[in-house]
Amino acid sequence: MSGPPRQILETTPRVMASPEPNFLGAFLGLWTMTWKSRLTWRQVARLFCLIFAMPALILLTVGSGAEKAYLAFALGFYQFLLLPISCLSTFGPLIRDELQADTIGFLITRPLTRAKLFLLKFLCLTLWMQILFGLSAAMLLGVGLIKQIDGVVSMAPWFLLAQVLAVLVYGALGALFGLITKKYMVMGVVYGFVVEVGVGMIPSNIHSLSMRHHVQNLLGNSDLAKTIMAKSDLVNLSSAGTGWAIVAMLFATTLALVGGALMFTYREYHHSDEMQK
Amino acid sequence: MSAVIEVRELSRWYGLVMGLNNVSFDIEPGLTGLVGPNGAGKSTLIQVITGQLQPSSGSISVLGERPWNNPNLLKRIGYCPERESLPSELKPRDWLRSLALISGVAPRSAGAMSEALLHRVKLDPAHWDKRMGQYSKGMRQRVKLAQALLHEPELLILDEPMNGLDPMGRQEIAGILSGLAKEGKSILVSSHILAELESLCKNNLVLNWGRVLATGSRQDIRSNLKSWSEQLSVTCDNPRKLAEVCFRAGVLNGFDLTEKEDELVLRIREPESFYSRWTELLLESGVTVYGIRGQSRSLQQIYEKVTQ
Repeated sequence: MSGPPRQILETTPRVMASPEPNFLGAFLGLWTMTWKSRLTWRQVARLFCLIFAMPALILLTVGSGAEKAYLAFALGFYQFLLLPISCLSTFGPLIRDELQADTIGFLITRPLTRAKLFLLKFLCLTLWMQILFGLSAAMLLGVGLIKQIDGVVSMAPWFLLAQVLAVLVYGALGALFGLITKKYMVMGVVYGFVVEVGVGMIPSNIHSLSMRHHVQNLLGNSDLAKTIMAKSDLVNLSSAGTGWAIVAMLFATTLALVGGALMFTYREYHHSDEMQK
Repeated sequence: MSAVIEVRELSRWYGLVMGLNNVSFDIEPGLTGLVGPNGAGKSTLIQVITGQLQPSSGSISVLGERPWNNPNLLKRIGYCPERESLPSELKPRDWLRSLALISGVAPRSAGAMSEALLHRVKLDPAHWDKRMGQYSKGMRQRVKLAQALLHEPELLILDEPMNGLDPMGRQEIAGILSGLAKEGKSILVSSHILAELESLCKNNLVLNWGRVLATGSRQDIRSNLKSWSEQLSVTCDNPRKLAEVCFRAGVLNGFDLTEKEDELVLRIREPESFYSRWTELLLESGVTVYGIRGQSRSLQQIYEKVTQ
C-alpha cells in the first residue's frame, strides 16, 4: 500500500461519529485480541501439549480394554487435576497480564463499565479454553475407542458436560484469585487441597462446596465412570441429582464472577508495584 | 467559553506520598500543555481526569461529568498513556480494529477506520504487518495516538506523546495535534519539556511537587514562574533561625540550607508581600546578615530551576 487512501480518510469522520458501544461488538473485539495473541508460533508448543500430550500418553501407555488405567488418566489426571490447574494458570492472569504488560489503561478507558469488560474478557478466554479442551477431550475419547474401552461412547456426553462446566467454574475462580493476589497459583493450590479435596471428601452436605464433587456426580451418570470411581477412596459420590450439580457449578461461577467484577470495578489501577512482575 | 476540565482543591495521595496537592484550575477548549518534570504529578492528574484514579479529596469535572467509573464520559475522551507497552503479539491493524469494536464502532467500518488512522499518524504501511513487539519507540507512539482517536473523541488526553520521537517525528505529531485542534477537538498534552509545548500550545499548566506552579499563556506562566522561582540567597550568622522565622511567617515556598553553614537560600512565595515584610522578619530573627543576593533567569531557565 502506498499513500493514504483519500476516500477512506474523507469518509472516516462520518463513520466515526458517536459510536455506541454494544456487548456483541465489544465481545468481537476482545475475542479477536484473545485468539490472535494466543495463537502464535511462540505458543504452539504449549497448545500442542495441552491438546495432544494426554491422548498421546494414553495411546502409548494404556493397554487395550484397560478401563481402570484409561480412567485414571482421563478422570483422575485430566478432569480432576490438569483441567483445574490449567484453568487456574490461564484465568488467573486475566487482568493481571494486562497490568504486568502495562496495557490495562487502553482497556479501562474504553466506554464500557469495568464489570462488563471483566465479564467479556472472561467469556472470550472461556471460549478459547473450551475450544482447546474440547479438542483435547475429543482426542482423549477417540483414544478410548481405539483402546476398546467399553462405555466410552455413553460416557462422552457426561464427560463433555462436566468439562464445560468445570472450565467455567474453575476459570471464574482462577480469575477471582488472580484479582485477589499476585500469588494466585498458591491460593488456588491451597483452595484445591482444602475445599476441593478436603471438604469434598466429607460425607455431609458441606461437600457441595467442592466443585470436584459435582464433577464426580455428573460423571457418575456414566456406568463406566461410576464403577471405577466407586472403587476409589478419593471419590465421594452423593445421591444429589445432575440438576443440582449443574446449578451448584453455575451458581459458584456466578458468585466468583460477581466478586471479580466488583473487585475490578472498585480497584484503582495505576503504575505501581502491583504492575511489576 | 466554558472549561472542558474543572478542578477544585483536588488532592491525591498514594499512601503517605502525595501525588497531587490541593490543585485548582480550569482547562479551556483548544490545545493545552501540561508541563512538569518526572514525578511532578502529571500522570496522576491525567489518570484522575480519565477516571482511572479517584481523587482523595476535592472535585473534578470533565466535559461536565465526574470521571471515575463513567463510561458515558469515556465515549467522549481519547486517552494515550505514557507507557510504551503495547500488546506485543498483535499487529497494529488487528489491535486498533479490536479497540474500535470495543468502543462501539460498527464491525464493517472498524477495519477501514484503523487503516485511516494509521495513515493519519503517519505509520509507514510497510510496518503494518509486523507484530507490535518489534516496534521502535516512535512507531509505538504513533499507534498509541491512533488508538486514542478511534471513537472520534471530543477531548484528547495525551501523556507524553512525543517521548522517543526524533525531531522530525515530533514535528509530525505536533502537526497532527494542531490539525486536530483546528477540527475543534480539545487536547491536553503532557511533556516534561516546556520548550516542546511552548510553541504548540496556547495555554500551559506547569506542575511540580504535585502543585500547580503556573497556568495560562506564555506571558502568564512567565510571571507565575518568576514568583515561584524568586530566590534570595542570604549569608548570615544563624541561617536556621532566619529560615524558621520566615517559614513561620508563611512567606516561603521552601528554603535550602547550603553546605556552607552560613548560607540560606529562600524560595519566596509572593515577592511583593515577602519584601514588604523582609526587614521586619530580619529584625525578628535577630541574625547578623553578611550578604544578600537575588537571582533572575529566562523562562526556560526559570522552569528548569523551579522543576529541578
